[in-house]
Amino acid sequence: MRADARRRLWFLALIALPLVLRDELTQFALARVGTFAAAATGLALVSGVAGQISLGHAGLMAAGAYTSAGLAVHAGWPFAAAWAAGTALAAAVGLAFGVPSLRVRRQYLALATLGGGFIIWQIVRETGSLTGSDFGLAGVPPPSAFGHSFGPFGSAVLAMALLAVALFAAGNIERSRAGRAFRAVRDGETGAQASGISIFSTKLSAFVLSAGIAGAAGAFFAHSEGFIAPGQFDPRVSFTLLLAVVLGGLTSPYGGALGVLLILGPSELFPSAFDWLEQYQIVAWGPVALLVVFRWPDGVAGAVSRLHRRMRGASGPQDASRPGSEHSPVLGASGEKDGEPMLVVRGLGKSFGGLRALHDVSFQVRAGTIHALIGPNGSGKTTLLDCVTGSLRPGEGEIALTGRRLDGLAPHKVAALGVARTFQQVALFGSMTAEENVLVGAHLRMRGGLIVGAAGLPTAGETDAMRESWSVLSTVGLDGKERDLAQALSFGQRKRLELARALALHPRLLLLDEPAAGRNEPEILELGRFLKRLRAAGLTILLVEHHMNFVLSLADTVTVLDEGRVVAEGAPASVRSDPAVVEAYLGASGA
Amino acid sequence: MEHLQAIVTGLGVGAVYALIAFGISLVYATSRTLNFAHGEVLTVGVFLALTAVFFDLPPWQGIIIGIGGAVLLGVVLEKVVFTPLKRSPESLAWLLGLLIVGAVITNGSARIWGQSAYNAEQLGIGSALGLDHIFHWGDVIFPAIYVWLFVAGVVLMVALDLLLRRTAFGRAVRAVAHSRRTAALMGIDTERTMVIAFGLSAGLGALAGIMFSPLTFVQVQLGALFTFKGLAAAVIGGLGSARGAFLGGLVLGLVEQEALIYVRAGYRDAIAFGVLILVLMVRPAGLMGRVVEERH
Repeated sequence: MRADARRRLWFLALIALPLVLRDELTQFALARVGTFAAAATGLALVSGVAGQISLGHAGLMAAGAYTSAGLAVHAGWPFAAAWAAGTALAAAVGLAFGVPSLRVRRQYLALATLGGGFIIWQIVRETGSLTGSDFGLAGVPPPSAFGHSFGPFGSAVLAMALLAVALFAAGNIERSRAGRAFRAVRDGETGAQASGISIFSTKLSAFVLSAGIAGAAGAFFAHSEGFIAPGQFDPRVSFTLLLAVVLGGLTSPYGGALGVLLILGPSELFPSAFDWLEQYQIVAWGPVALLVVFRWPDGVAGAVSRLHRRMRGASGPQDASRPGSEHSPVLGASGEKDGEPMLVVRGLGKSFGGLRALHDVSFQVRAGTIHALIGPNGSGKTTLLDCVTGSLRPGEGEIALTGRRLDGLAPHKVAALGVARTFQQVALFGSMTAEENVLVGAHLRMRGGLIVGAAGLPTAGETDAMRESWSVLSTVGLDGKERDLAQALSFGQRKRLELARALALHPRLLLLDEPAAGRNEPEILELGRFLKRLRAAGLTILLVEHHMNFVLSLADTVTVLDEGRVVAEGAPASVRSDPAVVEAYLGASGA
Repeated sequence: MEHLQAIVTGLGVGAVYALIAFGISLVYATSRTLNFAHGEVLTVGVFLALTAVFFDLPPWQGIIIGIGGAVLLGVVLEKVVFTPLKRSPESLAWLLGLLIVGAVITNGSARIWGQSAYNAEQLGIGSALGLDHIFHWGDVIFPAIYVWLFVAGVVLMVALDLLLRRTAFGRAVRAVAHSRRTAALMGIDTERTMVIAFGLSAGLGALAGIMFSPLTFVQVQLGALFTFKGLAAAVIGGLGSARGAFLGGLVLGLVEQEALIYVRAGYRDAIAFGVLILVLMVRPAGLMGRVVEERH
């Protein structure tokens, strides 16, 4: 692709930059800006792309820097080995750093990571014999290879190469399967889990990757500077890095590097003109960053790409990569014989505090049928779906899918068994396009992790899934919306998109929570025909719905819940006239 | 014996943390957000009081000026930074805003008051609270000022608790915290509630800072540390309740002092953060907070 080739040219230009800037002090500064830009790129991946805020990344840089410098100074390790060890240790510390993100989010995660960075900083200050405490560690050997030590020029080239690799990897990851998982977790954990993404491994791998990059930058920094001290990694530096990411653009993998260039660039590269700026980094750039966040949430990177698009105008090959859209059936073969029990719920109970939401609920969904779950508001329908998909842990009873126990499984494991679902209030990934939302739905059908993604290699199954995603969008009636952001769609369109995402999983069992919401009468009829087509193709559907005519014309079996109990079950016609159902909906009449 | 000393010192220092945490908890109770600039605002209050005394005002007037200045700063913080940024499409904008304001306040304060440490004794708080008066129980040293800080902590806890539970303002706070929109529809002046909460929080902070200033040399850079100790105490105890803040402060103080028997003094703040992370991991709602499983 042309865009890709142009991107690579940019990266090569970065590495060649020290050829142009010949002044030794400038090259020294270039190495410094380059390493911090690389570290900020690591932060952009975890805090921007994956949405896990970190206020402790200077601590991870310190972990890399002190490990590498310590091994080189105290144990005489060669540069490459010491640098690799520093990177590895920082990545390992990053794993510990990420653990709080499994439990807490946003402002609390900011506090926890701030604490993590602070603890590392204090350890560095207190282990004087190894780190030189507040006096710093001097005499760190410069970067070297094959017995040759690099001077300012070589260091600047290496620093720029490190930055270019970090940017290349970050840019590739963002568009890869792994990066889509990062962004899905950022935009909505519920929807990500329902698509089979493990929150646990996604968050931890984002932290490890990010820490590895920050640690590699920190380790290099120690050698190119020749001297490190705790002040270079104090909590304020973590905050400056985050500020850079925000200023550059939270949602772009390149935002961190851009922000560092803005914040550090002037005072480092043009000291004679901007020396005074150095002590005002946060004070001067803070309000600017705030303004950026407030007016343009996607930062400088977002502004640049908008400008870029406007300059190229409509003449650009906008939909050049439009995949061939053919109407192929999107269903996997479900192997069950029609009519046999597929989902078996037995004695299910669930309480919230003192409130009993479900009480001894038992029913079966037979393969190849449409099974409806109806009942008044608050009767426990959505709670029941949540128990089946693992987002809630049932108090009593068991749930089995063709003999396999589902209760106790995490939501992404349930999805992996072929259970897809939609949500009453829609759990889409707002900042991703409709196409990307569907691709997340196909997550389990693709292979390829972080390394494959970072290298920009094509992943197995990806091209198939891309081709299919457009036809799935077309079957739910979202032609022409493929490249629109999910958050820009209307409620009805988002319900459709969520259905498309669920189908992209190639489920055996499809759980729909109020699929008719946001549709008018003709559209509801169309939905009914669509669901019947799915049933004919062998899919089993369990749906929660309020629209009674829709349910009665569609379902093979209806289960009625009232106050958490099953009050009736059977064919639509018999349920309609059941006195218990009438009472549940209309209240105890005539009494 | 060293454990007894750790308990005495821990309760005294813990009361200081609790005093800082009250303001953080009050803002959280109203807005469900952590005020990452609380310590910086508090420090400005202390320095304003010191400045007033430097210009020959009597200490009590200096203290009023310090608290008043902090209240004003708290209100400005709410009006100029917090509320506008709450409306930003990026949902963490307010957090960055508060962090930036904290840095700007520290930087600005350093321009005005310099970076050196000041003795706050001119305020007369130390002698009024019996700073020189130290009880000795065998080897255990028990400064009288700890008693007063502890008493102040209890009094403020009870007052804040009554304010939040028994008054119309307290009901408004809870309504606004639950949903600013709904509260507004119910006729609550949400903006006024937020302004009062921020102002009161800043004033409480300044009062706390002035009260414990005799224990430490005040320095503008300490603002960030006060913020983090206060946040740690409030989170450990359970955010949003005065009793949680008090308990959190005491627990933090005690754990720090007890741990210092075994590790070097330089690790004190790292221990505080360690406890904080542990609580966030094991019991995110804090020691007094209730964790209720919510429907999706």
